[in-house]
Amino acid sequence: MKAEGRAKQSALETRLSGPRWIYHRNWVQLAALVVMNSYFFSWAKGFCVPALNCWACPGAIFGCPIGALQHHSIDARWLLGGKPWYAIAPLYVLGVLLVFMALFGRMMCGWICPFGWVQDKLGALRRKHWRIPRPLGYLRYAVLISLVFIVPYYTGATWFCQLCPQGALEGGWLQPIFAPETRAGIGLWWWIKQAILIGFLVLAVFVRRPFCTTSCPLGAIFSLFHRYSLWRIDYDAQKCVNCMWCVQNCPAGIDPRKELNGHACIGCLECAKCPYDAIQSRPMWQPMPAEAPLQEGQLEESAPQTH
Amino acid sequence: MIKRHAWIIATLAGLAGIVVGLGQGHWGIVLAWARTLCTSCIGLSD
Repeated sequence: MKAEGRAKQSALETRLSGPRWIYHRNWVQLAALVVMNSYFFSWAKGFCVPALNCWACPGAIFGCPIGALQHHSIDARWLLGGKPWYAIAPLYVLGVLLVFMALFGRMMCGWICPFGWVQDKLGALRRKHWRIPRPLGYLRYAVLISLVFIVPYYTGATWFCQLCPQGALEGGWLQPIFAPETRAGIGLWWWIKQAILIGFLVLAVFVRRPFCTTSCPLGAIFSLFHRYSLWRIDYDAQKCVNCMWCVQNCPAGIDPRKELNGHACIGCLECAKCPYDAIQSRPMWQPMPAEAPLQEGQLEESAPQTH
Repeated sequence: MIKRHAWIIATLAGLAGIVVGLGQGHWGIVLAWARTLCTSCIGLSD
């Protein structure tokens, strides 16, 4: 049965379509990880990169937008009443995020987020994954509103950072290695953070992108506009033969036939490799290409029998 | 129609936010936060 499934998968992989550049996602993710943490140009930390990359990493060259939003929330408490709203509101950080999400939706999650890449690699260790109940996806919005805005405002502490597994990986590990004086600070909280990190990493083997799906506040911001962004992904039900290739290969663990451009889609474009061209990515101004009619008998010959 | 052009409106709003924010010195503020190592944020102090 397993061998049959693999044979069907291989048969479909010989037919993969889509533009060539979407096949280089792994290298783009790796390049983004290296560039974001390439140590030099610390002046660039004023720019908030549209990905979750801890600015406490010794090599980080950009700012973390979620870290900046929390600091804005904390500052707002002390500055309210003393300055005009536009001086206190995080207009610059939100403006950067708005531009990226208007142009690319949630593609940053699928293409440049370093923690997303780590989870993709762990997810690739298994072929079958458990599905996360969809309502858990809304937890990200609760994390965004509470841990990024409300709790920092009232407590004066960056609580999302204190729990962030990406910070535990990049800052929590690399600072003690490259800055030995910080090792003395390793205590209970460091272990709590590592436990959260290990929990998500282990879960990433069994569930597709568990952190992105349930807890990432930046993904929550981007997914608000994913459906209306310039870069779109379209599904053509007429061409779809229900071969399930897209469902089996989606790094976000969604069913692209039903949830394309939805709040759980990470815009990775893996589904745009569809063997039957039923899913395609294109900019908003480009019309969906006309349907190429299938040859007679093509469905029966090439589509595997699934479910 | 609105769906089709929402990205243009959002891009312009984002650019306006960036310009106003930069005018308020937010680049320097973010840079200062980013350069200050927050040890409690990465679990290296209680």
